[in-house]
Formats: sequence, C-alpha cells, structure tokens
Amino acid sequence: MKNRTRVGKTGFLLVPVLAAALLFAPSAGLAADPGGPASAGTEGPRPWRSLAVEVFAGGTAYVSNDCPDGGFSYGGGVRWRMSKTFGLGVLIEKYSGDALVGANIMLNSYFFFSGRSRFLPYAIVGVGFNSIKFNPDREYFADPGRIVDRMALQLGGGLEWRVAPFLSVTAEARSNLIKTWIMTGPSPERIRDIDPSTQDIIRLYGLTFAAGLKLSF
Amino acid sequence: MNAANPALATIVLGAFLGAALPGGVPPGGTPGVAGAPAVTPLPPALSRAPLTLPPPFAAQPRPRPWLAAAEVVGINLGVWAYVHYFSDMNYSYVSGETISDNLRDLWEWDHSRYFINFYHHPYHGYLYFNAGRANGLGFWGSSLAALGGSMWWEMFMEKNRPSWNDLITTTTGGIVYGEIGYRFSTRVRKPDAKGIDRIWREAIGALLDPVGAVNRLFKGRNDDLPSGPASRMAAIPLGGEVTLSGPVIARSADLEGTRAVPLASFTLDYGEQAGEGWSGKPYDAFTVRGRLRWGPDRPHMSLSIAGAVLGRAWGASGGFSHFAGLYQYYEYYGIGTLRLGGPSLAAGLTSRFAVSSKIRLATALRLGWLALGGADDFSTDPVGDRRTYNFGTGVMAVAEACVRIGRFECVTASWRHYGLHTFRLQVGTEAWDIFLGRVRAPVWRRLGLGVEFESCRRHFDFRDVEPGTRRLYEARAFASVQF
Repeated sequence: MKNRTRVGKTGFLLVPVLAAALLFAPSAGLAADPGGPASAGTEGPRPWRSLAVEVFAGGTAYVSNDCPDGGFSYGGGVRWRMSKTFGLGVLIEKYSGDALVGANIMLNSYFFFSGRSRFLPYAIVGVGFNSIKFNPDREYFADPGRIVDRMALQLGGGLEWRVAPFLSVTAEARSNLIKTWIMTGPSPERIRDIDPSTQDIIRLYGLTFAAGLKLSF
Repeated sequence: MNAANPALATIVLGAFLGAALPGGVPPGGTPGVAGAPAVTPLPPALSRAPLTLPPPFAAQPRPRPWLAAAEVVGINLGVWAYVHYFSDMNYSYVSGETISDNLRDLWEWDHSRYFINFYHHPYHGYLYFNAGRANGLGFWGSSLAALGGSMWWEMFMEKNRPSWNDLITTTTGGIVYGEIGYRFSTRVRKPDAKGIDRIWREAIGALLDPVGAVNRLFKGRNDDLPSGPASRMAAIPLGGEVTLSGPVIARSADLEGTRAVPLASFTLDYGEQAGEGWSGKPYDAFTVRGRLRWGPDRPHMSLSIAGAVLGRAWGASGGFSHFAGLYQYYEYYGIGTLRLGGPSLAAGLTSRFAVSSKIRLATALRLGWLALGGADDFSTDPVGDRRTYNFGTGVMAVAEACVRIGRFECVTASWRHYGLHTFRLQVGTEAWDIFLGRVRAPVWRRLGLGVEFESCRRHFDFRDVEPGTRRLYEARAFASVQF
C-alpha cells in the first residue's frame, strides 16, 4: 500500500510532464527521421515509415436486429504504407461476445488525409473474411445451426497519434457488414450449391471501437 | 479535318458509351487519312510532303505498378460491394470456403446472358486496364493488369466457378476498350482549361479514363502524363463518319417487307491506317465502328474495334503507302436476331493508292484467329434470357475496299468471314459471311446521302441438329456526316 502510494505520486508528476513533452515536441513527421527511406521524388525524406506492425483491443457490438450481441475484440497485424495517401494492411481479429464468438482476417486499405501531421486521420475500406459462430459455452434448447462464413465489407476510420517516428497510438472505429445465413441441415459438398435467394439472409452488422499501438520500421 | 473533328468524334463515341462527349482541339493536329473520309490538305503520303511525327512525351512518368495493382483490387472490391449490398446478386456471396472451392474445382464455361458475357465483361476489364494506364504503365503492362484483375475476380470475387470465357472476354475486351478510352481521353482533357470548361472536360475525361480521373482528383492533374492532353496521343489524327438510316428493307426466311427501324452508326479512324506516322506503339492506329438499331424486338447494338498492335509501314511516297500489321479485334455484331461476337487476332495488309490527283483507293486484307466466338440465332427466343449461344473458335477473314473522291468516301465494300468450330451448346461447325456495300454522294459540305446493302449468311452443321442456313438481307437509305 505504501509503495503504491509512492508510485502514484511519481506518476502524478510524470504524466503532465510527458504529456507536455509530447504535445509541444516537433511533429514526428517533420522531425528528422534518419531511418526513413528517401522519397524517389523531390520532397525529401518521407515523413512516415512504410512497414508497421500493430496490436489493438476494443469492443464490438452487433447492432442489427437479426442477432444483437456485444463483446470484446482484440488482434494485430501488419500495415504497409505505400504512399503519402495510401496504405494496405492485413489484420487478424478475435471476437468474444455473449451469444457469438468469432474471428476474422481483414485486408484493409487506408486512405490518409495528411502525410506530415502528428495526428493522422484516415479512412478504412477493405474486406474481412468472417467466421462467426454461436458461443459454444452457452446452452441451447436445440441445435442453433451454423452461421455460414462470409466475406464482408469493412468500412471505418481512425486517428493515428504519432508519438515518435517509430511509435504511434491508434484509435479506430470499424464496421463489418456481414450478410449471411444460418445453415441448420447438413452442409452440401460445395457451399456454392446453395442458392442464397432461397435462404433467410441475416445481417450481422458489427461496429468495433479499438485502440492500438503501432510500431513502424 | 479541322478543329471541329475531334469534338464530333468524341461526341459520337461518348454517345455510344452513354454520354455526350465534346472534344478538345488536338494541339498540332494533322489531317486524317485512310479510313478517315474528309482530308484537306492531302496527307503526306500523297502530297509527298515530309512526314511530321508527333512530338515525343515531354517526360515519361514513373510507372507505379503497385498502385496500379492496388487500384485493380480496389475496383474489384468496389464492384463486388455494389453487387453484394445493392444488387444482392447470388454469385456475390463469397467466403473463404467458396474461394477454396474455386481453387480446387477450377475453370468452367459460363452461359450468362449473351450481352453480359460479350459486352459487359469487357467494360469490367476496361477498368483494370485503365488502372494500369493511369499509373504510367504501358500497353503491355496494362494488359497484364487486365488479366490479373480478371483472374482475381474470377477466383475470389464470385461464388461461381471461374469461367474461361469471362476471363477471355474481360481481358481481351478490356484491353481494347481500355486503350481506346484512354486514347480518347487525351483528346478531351485540355491544358489550362478553367472553370466550366475544365469541369466538363474532366467529367467527360472521367468517363473515358475513369481511374485516371480518380488519380487526377487525388493527386492533382498533370497534363504531361500520357493521359494528359499534352501527350503525343492528343496529336494523332482522327476522322470518321456519323450515319443515320431510315426505314430498313429486310428479307429473310421468316421476315420480309419494310420496317421502320431507326439505325444510327458511326465510324472513327484514329491514326493513319495505312501506316504513315506509325511509331511502333500499339493502337497508334485503330478503327471503331458502332451501330445502334431499335428493333425488331429491342435495341440491338454492334461494335467492332480493330487496333494495330505490331506492324511495319513502308512506301509513304510515290502515291501509295502500305502497312503490314498484327491487329487485335473485339467484335460484337448483331443484325436482326443474329448474334456473333468475340476477340480475334489477325495479320494483314492495309494499303492506300492514289489513282489520280482526286481519287484514292484504300484496301485492307486480314486473316486471323477468332479466339473465342459466341454465336447464335435468337429468332426462337427474341425476348428471352438469351443464354443459348454456342462457344467456338476458328478463323476470321476481312476484306475491305474504299474509294474516296476528293474529300469524301464515296464507295465502300467489306466482307467478313468467321468460321467457327463450336464446342459448347451445339457441337459442330458454323460459317458466317457478312457483306456490306454502300454508295454515298456528297450533298452539302460534309453531309451526304447514300444507300447501303448488308447481308448476313449463317450456315451451320451441328452434331445434333439438321444442317441449315439462315440469311438476312437489308437495304437502307442513309444520311451521313463525314469529318
């Protein structure tokens, strides 16, 4: 208890000092970045690093009427910023909710509105390969069936706070728009043999808010 | 040709693509020739004047293949999102499982509606090709973009098995449509255009070069890029004709008499068809012929594009010139209820002779491979789904002759032959012979009146059907403007 109080006092002093240092320090983008590769053009060194890995965690809510649910999401991935305005990323995310659990792999494109600011807003457009299942830890009166895996559009946006040339903090809001159906009978040999127009289509439209750390190389 | 010609040409092409396309004045434009009707003064080959080549690119832009690839993927994603969320198409329900199945089961032949397979798919490929061109890739690099984009779509963006014919028509048609759209976009965009002038030019340019327009929107317009109006492409001559036909006198086994079927058509000749000014770049010379007719049951369209991919020109003096080349064709032909379409590759000779000081003769002979033909007679299913057509491969041959007196094309005749070995739906052989002859007399300035005769003969010999022949003849009166 005594030790914890001491740490708290130190933190109380350090937090505003660090915050002031970060806020008033030169922009990470404008700061000299000897590790950053030179641009092929005449704009000088790139104010960003191309390759990055990131981890994130947050919450997801499936807001549709078909199967409302909410839970915890986390994951990580790799991003490749190809130009001032454009990047690509591959991310893996796990979701654990009350009624549903799942995982998805996302292939996202990132559209940046600025190349040199400390705070970088961006838009996300991509696809996710979603595998959503009914939570196996729950008890069911009858077999609930299988939610058919589906590729779905990912739309969203985020804000990257570049605390150093190699380190950023991210905050993202993403929505994945899953249109699929629940299969209760035996699966056919080829899923393509099922005509979707004969199925009751459910819309699992999820909204994820996540915060993350991005390490750039 | 004068300054008004590109404007008319782009309007014509744009009308065919679904929009009116006024055009820009090509800087340093030169007179049009073979295939291009109105020519004043005489072209270099005939006047013996030294040949003036268009200036080279001011600066070669740096190719951005990765961005092109990313845009190709983005195009697929956008089209898929549209058909999945808005159109709710069955084939759009894609997952890892369907992709895995596609990779395991591989290719099939797909019988979507004829119009979809032979006309819509090339437009999809057009966007892929355009992504390559808009990012500084050359013709061949952009062709790879068309192939890659189509492969990606077939494998990953549909739940159906990938289809050979979709891959072929999307790629080959995409290359053809893409290159002509890209070339015409250079004529619409204009350096230093401002205000309303710039807005409509960029808007029309966006129809012809959509991915380039997106890039210009995000990265700022750069008139030195190949798609920009400062490029040498904007100086390549352009000529053509717009025709309006009245009632059609038709004869066939099941139909005869006069039908009031309006018909509008156009011909655009880009570059010197007989080789003057040939720089070795694919599509420095090509011809687009389009036709839209209302009837007998619904609007019918024909589109034929032939572009020189490789070639050699000689004899640009002494009153004649020749061009031996390899041509890429993409054709979509319809008359009455007869349909034939597909991509071809043909080798041939295009020549022009000065018979006298005022009379010139242009000829073209081509022989090639019809890589994938789709052919059938929809007379039994005039308003149905039109999925019952044959796939085949075979030979194609073209012979054309044109006499021009003074500035105007007066007599033309063409014959096209397609010999198909069909392997899907009906198995066997079929031969198509299409003849078109026309006579035209100038009336006032560029306006002329004339008559034309067209015949289409289809002979088939299939394994499960009695051999037979279907013929259709049409005679038409027309008014046209040559430029």
